[in-house]
Amino acid sequence: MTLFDNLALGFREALSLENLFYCFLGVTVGNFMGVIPGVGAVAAVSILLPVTYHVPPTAGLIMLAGLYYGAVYGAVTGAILLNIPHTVSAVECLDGYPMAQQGRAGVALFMTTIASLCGSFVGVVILALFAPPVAEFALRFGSPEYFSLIILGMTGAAALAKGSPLRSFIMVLLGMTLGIVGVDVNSGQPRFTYGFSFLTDGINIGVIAMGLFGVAELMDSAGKPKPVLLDAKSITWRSLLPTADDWRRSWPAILRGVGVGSCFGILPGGGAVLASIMGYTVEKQIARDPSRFGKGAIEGVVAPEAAANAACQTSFVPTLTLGIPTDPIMAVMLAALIIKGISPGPSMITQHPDVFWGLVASFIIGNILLVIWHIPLIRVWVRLLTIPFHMLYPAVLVMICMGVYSIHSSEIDVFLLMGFGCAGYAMRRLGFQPAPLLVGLVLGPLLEEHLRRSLIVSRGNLAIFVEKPISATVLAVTLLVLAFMLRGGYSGASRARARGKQAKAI
Amino acid sequence: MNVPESALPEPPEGRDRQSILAGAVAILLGAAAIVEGRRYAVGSLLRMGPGYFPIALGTLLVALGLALALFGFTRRAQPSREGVLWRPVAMIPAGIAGFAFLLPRFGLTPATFFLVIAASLSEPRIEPLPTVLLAGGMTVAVWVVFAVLLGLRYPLLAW
Repeated sequence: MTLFDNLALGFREALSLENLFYCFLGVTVGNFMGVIPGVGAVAAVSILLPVTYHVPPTAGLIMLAGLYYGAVYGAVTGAILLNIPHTVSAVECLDGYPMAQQGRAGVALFMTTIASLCGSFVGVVILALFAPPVAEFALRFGSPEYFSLIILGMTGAAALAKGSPLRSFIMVLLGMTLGIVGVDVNSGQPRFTYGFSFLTDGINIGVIAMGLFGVAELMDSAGKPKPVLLDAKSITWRSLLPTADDWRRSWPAILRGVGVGSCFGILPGGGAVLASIMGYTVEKQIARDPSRFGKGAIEGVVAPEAAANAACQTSFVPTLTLGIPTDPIMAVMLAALIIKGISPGPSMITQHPDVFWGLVASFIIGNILLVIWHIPLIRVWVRLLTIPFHMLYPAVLVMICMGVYSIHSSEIDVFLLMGFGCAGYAMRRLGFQPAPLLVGLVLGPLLEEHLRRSLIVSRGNLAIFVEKPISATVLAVTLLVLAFMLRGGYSGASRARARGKQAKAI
Repeated sequence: MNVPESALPEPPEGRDRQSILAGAVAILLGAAAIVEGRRYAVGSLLRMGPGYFPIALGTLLVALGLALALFGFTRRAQPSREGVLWRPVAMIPAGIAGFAFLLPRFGLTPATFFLVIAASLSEPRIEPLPTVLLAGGMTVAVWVVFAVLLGLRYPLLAW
């Protein structure tokens, strides 16, 4: 089949009434959740994760993906209008909020919408063009190659996560340990269940994700004073219109952002967050007058936004073709697929073309829906954002609890949710980030499986991982990532000693 | 992003207790994994038993935990974050626990009201009327989403 046949299949799938509804639901809820302080993209994705249990796989995946890019999109609105630094949009605050203070919020919103659209479209094209050949190549991979790829994925997730790499590695290991809970596939023996029958199937990833991200975030941000809300009347259609100078400055910045984002999306541990930071850094580096940055330079808003959205789409390449998620959101997405009986990997595109191409087509539809929310309906949207936070988070909590309960109609899951919420809050106080834990949780069981299989093939000889060329190459890249990370940590520490201050790195 | 050095708060006296404590937690969890892992057959590299992988993970956790704790001993304390706000830390888990208890026994309405009211108590002051309206609205919303759209049979009231 040619690309066009595939896309036609995808659009037939994505344009069905049901899938269209879930796409709409995903992008709208994601976009809205993305703006709320304390609810990031991971929380947005995990809140509707339980819904996927009750709908067909394509619809569920379309909805979750919509939540993801919807939340990335929404985060920038929060950054510009409310100066809320989300993980995905932290750098957009730097120039977006000054623009809003200068009365140019409308222009910033309009141009980021254009930037997101460009980023997403290029990302989708890359996904459609590159995923099938990557999958075909990956068909040759055996257990040793997968083992090495998973090690690389985990190292990348830990090395590039926010905060100290040592703490991130501890989180990855803890996630893998949680992944052990349940029946061992090789021996049939229940492990780490402590005699509780509800643990024999393992702990649901939705419960863990919502506890660590949703509940813990809300425990951390509730009760604190919130940013002053914006004046909804100040956003008019007229105020959206960019000047000729804005266009001239934005176009090249958007293109550079798209390029940076597409590359960083595919990297293990990369994803939208890193892409947006890199997009900003590149703009600041090449600008003729870097002093404009931080004072409302439009390039500093559009480039990271284009990069984040391009990365959003391209990060589906490793997730769907290799079954190896690059960031926690992709880990949740992968878990959702496995729940629906689809194992992501090289054969997914050929075995479930309707799911893969339906998803690709839904990205295009979803992004058009987001443009509709942000340009013709911008005033309705901004009005929605004036709902006070203290009314929002009890509502979010109800949705989280109800969602968790609905997975198995089990109250124990809700009590576990409470436990993981408290644990997540304690982790934050100890300086741990929960994101690498989710990656470890999803990849841990896969790692054990491929390790055992590889060693059976090699008769217990660990050298198999360096004797296979692809596996050896991947491990070499892993060592490079590690070396890079350690060097960064050490130089940071020595600089800090020289100044008599502490290193921020660890 | 770059805070001028003069703007940084003066570092407090003593060792970096946050890192030491975090390392200690990692060591404890790793030790727990090793203890539990030893209850299963360990096997060899060729034929790994169900205990092999958990013990390996536990050992790595202990090692990294030690590294983090030692690191904490070698450097000064960090400027700490703001203190714990006890109201949300107590009320949000309490609300979730109440929800879990009430939902299967008494239905959606009491569970949702309990959670919304408990969560609202995290704020320094609570406005009664908007909170009750929100609880009512959320009850209708979850009923429509889960009972009507997803077809799960959760009653609004039961006893």
